[in-house]
Formats: sequence, structure tokens, C-alpha cells
Amino acid sequence: QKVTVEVLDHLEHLALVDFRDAEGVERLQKAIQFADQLHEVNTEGVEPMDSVLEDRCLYLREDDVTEGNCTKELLKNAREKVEEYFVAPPGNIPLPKLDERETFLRGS
Amino acid sequence: QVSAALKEGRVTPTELCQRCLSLIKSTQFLNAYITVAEETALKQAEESEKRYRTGQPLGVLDGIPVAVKDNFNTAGIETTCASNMLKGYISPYNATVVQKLLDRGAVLLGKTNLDEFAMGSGSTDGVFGPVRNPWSYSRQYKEKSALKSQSEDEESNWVISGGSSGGSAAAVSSFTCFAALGSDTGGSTRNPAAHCGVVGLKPTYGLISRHGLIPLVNSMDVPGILTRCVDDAAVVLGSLAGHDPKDSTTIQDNFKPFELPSLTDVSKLSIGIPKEYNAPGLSSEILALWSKAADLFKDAGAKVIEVSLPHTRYSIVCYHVLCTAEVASNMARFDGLEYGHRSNMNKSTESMYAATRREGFNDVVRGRILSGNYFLLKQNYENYFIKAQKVRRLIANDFVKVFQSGVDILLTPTTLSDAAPYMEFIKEDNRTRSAQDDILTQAANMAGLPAINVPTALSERGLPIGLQFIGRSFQEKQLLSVAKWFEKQVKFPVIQLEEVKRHDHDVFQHQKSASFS
Repeated sequence: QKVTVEVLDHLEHLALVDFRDAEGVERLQKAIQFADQLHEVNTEGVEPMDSVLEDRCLYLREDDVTEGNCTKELLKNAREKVEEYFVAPPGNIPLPKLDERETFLRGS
Repeated sequence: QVSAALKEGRVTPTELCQRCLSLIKSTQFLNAYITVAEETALKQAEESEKRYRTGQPLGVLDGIPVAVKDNFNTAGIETTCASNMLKGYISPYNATVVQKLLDRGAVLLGKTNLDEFAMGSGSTDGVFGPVRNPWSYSRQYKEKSALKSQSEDEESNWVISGGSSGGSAAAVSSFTCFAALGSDTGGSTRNPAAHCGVVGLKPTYGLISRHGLIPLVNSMDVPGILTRCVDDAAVVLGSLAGHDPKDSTTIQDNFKPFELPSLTDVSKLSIGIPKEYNAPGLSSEILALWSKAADLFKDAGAKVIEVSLPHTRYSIVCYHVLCTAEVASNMARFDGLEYGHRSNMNKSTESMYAATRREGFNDVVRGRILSGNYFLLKQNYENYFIKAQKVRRLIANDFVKVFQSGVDILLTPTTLSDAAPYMEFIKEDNRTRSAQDDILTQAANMAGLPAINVPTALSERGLPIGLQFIGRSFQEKQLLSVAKWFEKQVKFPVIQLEEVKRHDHDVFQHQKSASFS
């Protein structure tokens, strides 16, 4: 059962990462095939496990400010900034559709 | 031993630091280090020296040179995770475990090499190149390999260090530091420990803080400890374990650092041998060694019984799904806005993110992100992600049942074979390799249990083979005590590094038998 181009395109949109070439797509196919082995296991009546520490209470600390004021340090690592803002290109512009995008999937 | 030497003034922290730094330079061909923090290390060594001179050292770790895997944040020192995404990223803070080491006076020599973002089992997929196993240059390996000529041997015959904490393991194994931090999500500390002939400890999940460790799989990651002997691992564990308010997945129980007893009587122990760990592909050498080890316990009076962990073979599949899913989520933070690489693409936020991530991540990372996203799609969520979580419970329960039946410790092999030559290893892709190599170490991460690799013997090729002990949750003291007893019995040989000997004979002689506890 091969993954359709629609799903591959959808994944590139969701992940914002590209398959790059046929090998990338093949990698996903193999990964799915590998994961399908899970269906051999009988999990009737078994609850999913999120964490091995599920029987314990999570630690909650007091809602007090104990550190901060490190704006300068944090801004040091950003490439584009203005005063104390990180600068991003305009949002709300979706990634171009499949036929308009630079992607390996266009050929498929 | 080294700690005692420091206390008695037989050697000073700066001398020690300088020797290690020069050894790092002469072993550069191993590619174990990404960044060497020479200046800060020497400064730390000087401070330590002052403390020793006034008779007020901070403890056993004061002045001890250590190395840290490059996926731990270290303030003021570049942290790259061996990826283009974080090249040039200078952390603004220290990971809790790094801070703890520094607070106790340890001297941070540098950051070690790894597979990109700790994904891999060979330390071959980072942007700074692969890590070479120091044993490739040992007399033991050279004597056993069919040498055609000297130069051909060095350039094409070297073996991998294992991964993903290969740099840390190689650093400890080649004497450039006395302890190193790694991380363990699927075996990433124990695998290279086995290949490089050092002790690799994976603590119980929740015992040591993950704050500052760049996450791979939040529900399975733990910082790992690599040392030359079990006693050292216990000392490092003692200084790192304990609740951290900055990591809410650390347990709140009080942790009491312990001194490892030297067991002489193991007759009250029950050792379990899980039959499923005789996995397909396990080398006959290791199988024989495993059997010999079981006999060792039996002859010493311990109860050795075969047990079953029936879901073992699904552990790797389960890991594959859960890991890629959590990775897809954890890697989402790398968008170029606040730190790390940023693409020049400026048309829109989404296209900038996409370009940044396309440029910053290698095939392995991108592959896992895409797979993870696939398993998390609405149409797949129940069938893959939830299913994997259910299988995870079954795996964890397997262990619970075995431990409840009276078994104290499990004894298993750590790897399927000794270290492969690099040229062989790269013939298969990262995912296939990881699936093969993680099979024996992965389940302990699923169940959150503590596990340790103890170097046991040399293979026919002259390379290290290690065996793994898995213990009950939070019972590190028992686990390490048994490991220590075993270590004493097997007397694993010291590596005889030839290249290095030529350059730095004195440094080498001093460090050869030194542990710091």
C-alpha cells in the first residue's frame, strides 16, 4: 500500500521539511512497513502508556518568579531582531501548493 | 585514584588538565571532540588548584577533567548537536547536569561528537564527521587484523565507536577525560560503551534531570554516564541524581548518594537470563560470553534462571513509532527565529521555516520527522501511535512480571557483535542500522529501567565486548554493586594505544590505570 502524493504533500506541509528525493519517500514507505509489525500484537484491553512515571504526581512549584531578566542573552542567538523583538517574515501566507512549490514531489 | 592523587598533591589540577588537553590534540584523528574549551578548562583547573592548596576541595570530582556530549547546553560554549541547525549556537545556560558537575569542581574539557541530534547507533551521521573507535588503533586490534600494510590499515580499517554518544565513549576510552556525559534514548550510552570498552550507565528515567538536554524523546531520554570503571560511575551518579525543580519529570524522592559496597557474596542474588535476548544476528562469540558470564554467577552461588520477556521483539518497532512521533514534535522548535540556523528565504514565515529546516537538518532527522508526522496523522493516530503506546505498556509489564517473580537483575548482551569497520557500517542506512543495533538496549528505555554496560572481554578481532545488566527502577545501588562484582571477576584488559604512546608517553603512562575514585 503506497503512500499517495496527496499525503506526502500534506506531510511536507505539516512538517515543513522536504522529502528531497526518491530515497526520502522510500524511507517513509519502509518506515511504515516496519511499523506495521505492531499490528501483530494483541492489545485488547490494554491502556496506552504515556510515561513510566504515570503512577506519580507531577511536581508543581510555587507560582513565583525566580529568574528572568535575560533578554540580552536570549536575543544574542537570533539572527534577525529589532530592539527586543525577534523579526519574522510575514505570516498567514500558506506554503505554495504542490504545482507551485519547489519540491521533489512535483514530478510524481 | 586520581582524586586521591590530587588531594595528596602528587599531581595538580592544572597539570592534569594540560595533560588531557594535549592528549586530546594528539588523538584528534579520533574526532571525538567537536569543541575543546581549552581556556575555560584551564581556568577551572586553576580555581580547583587554589581550593586544593587551601585544603578545601569541593569533593571527589574537584579538578577532574570531564567531557560532555554536544547535545547538552553549556553556557558560553557552542552546542551543536552535530547539526547545521545549531552550528554557532552558544547556549545561554548550563544544563542542570553540567551545572552540577561544575559546582563540584569538575573541569569541562569540551563537547563530544555524536550522531546528528543523537539519532543513530554509530556516531557516523553528524556534520562534523564520524567518530573513530580508539580500539581501531590499539595493539590488540592491530595484532588480530589481517594487515596488508600500515597505511592501508589506518585509513580504511578503523571501526566505529557506536552511538549516538560515540564521542563521549571514545573520549573516556582514550584517556582524554575521566568521565563523560552521554544521553540514552534507545541505547545511545550503552552501545558505544560496549564498542569502546568502557562502562556506560543508563539511570532510571526520572532520576537525573533532563533540563538542558536537547530532547529527542521526552518520555525515554536520560542523561547517561560513561566512565572507565563502575565505582567512577557511582560517584558521578551520586553527584547528578536528584530532583530538579526545572525538570518536572524528575521524581521528588530524596536521593542519597551511596558508596558502592564491594560484594563478596552473590549467593542471595537471582539473575535472570531473558531468552528473547538471544536475538537473530547475535554473534556466536557474544552468545558464548553471555553464557560464560551466567556460569560465573552460578559458580559463585547465585540463582541463575531463564526468564521470558515475550514482547521483546516488538520493542524496536514500538520505539520506532514513538520515537519518530516525539521527534516530529521536538524538532518543531527549530524554525530559525530565536536561535540556530536561519535561511535567507524571506517570503513568508512558513517558507522561511521550511527553507531553514531543509538546510539545517540531515536526511536522518528529516526522515524521522516525516515518519513521525505520518504516524500522528488523524487517520493513523489510533493505529500507530496509540497502538505503540499500548505495546509499550505490554513491554514494561513484561519486566514488572519478571522482577516480581523474584529476579533481582537481568543479564543480557549489549550489542549483537563487536564494532564494525566503518566501511561496512555505512553500507546500510541509519534507520536499518539503528533497528538492528538497538534491539538489546531499547527495551530498558521503554520501561524506564536502569541498565549498565560492563566491558567484559575482547573479541576474536581484538575489540571490546560488553554485557548489560538491567535492574529494577531506582535500584541503582543494587545494579551497580552487581556490576562492580562482575567487573572485578572479568578483569577487562586495558587498551594499549600505540599511536598515542609515541607522542605522549608520560601522559599515557600516568593515566593508563587511573580511575578517579
